[in-house]
Amino acid sequence: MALVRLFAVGLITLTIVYCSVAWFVRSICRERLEREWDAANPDGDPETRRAAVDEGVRVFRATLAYRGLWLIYALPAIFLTSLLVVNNWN
Amino acid sequence: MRSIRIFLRAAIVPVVLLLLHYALPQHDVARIASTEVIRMDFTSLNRVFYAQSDSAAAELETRDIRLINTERKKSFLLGFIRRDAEGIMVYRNEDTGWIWPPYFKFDSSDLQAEASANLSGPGQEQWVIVTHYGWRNRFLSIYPNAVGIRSVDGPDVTVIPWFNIFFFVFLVFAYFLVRAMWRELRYRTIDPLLGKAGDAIGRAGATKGRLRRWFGSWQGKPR
Repeated sequence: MALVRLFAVGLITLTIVYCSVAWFVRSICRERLEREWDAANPDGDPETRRAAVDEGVRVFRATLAYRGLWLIYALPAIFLTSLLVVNNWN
Repeated sequence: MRSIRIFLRAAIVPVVLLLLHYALPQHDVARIASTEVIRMDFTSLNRVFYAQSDSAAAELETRDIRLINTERKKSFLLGFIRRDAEGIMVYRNEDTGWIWPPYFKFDSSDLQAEASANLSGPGQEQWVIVTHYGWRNRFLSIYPNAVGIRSVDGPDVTVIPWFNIFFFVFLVFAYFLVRAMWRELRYRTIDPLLGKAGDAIGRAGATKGRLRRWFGSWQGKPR
């Protein structure tokens, strides 16, 4: 029962962390794309700008760096497993 | 508003520090004098300072607790500066299993055997490093929980607290990450929203912050 509870609490916490960090890096990327676009097209059309930035964020979501955010789930799981082994190894 | 914030922060800091001091691992250099089992009848005062019965066993109100009686080197500053003096310390030895704090310790019986295997008397000391968390308090009858025992050649060993080092580095990293995320959220999402909502208020000609004006509305009219 305690294991189920640990699992549930861990999953919820890590999902919150994953979602917020994913939102954060997307937002940083969007900000950078907007700056770059503004520098390249000083008086461009806002509609074109939004489409270009959206496309840039879509490309970013496919990169290895963005997908690496799954480590937010993997690393704690690996860490806890190793803690379990180290603390009970005789 | 500012003083409330300062007060809240000042109140949280000692609580967090106490929690960390309780839950993070510490290392003692000790000589194990004996091991024993006593029956504990918990009360609401001290139950929270004990973990649980052995993993997979039933949880009763009263149960036996394994204790490790030691003589240990005293120290200053959370064990960083070792003194020449010796004192006694009693550790409990309990499974933490899957519950808090997350040591995932299931090997209490093995640890007790390890403690028994390292018994030594005065004059022929077999020194060990006892890794533990928790507090000893005589008034509450609580003991730190030993999580590991490692025998060493002599009492003058340096133990580098790797786990704590990584933990605090991670804590600092997490603090700056959360701060950066909060700022990003404010600049990109909350501020633009407030900017729109604040138009009507802005037209009313107020210059103070919204929260401050709201707090101001609690007070009586100026006379």
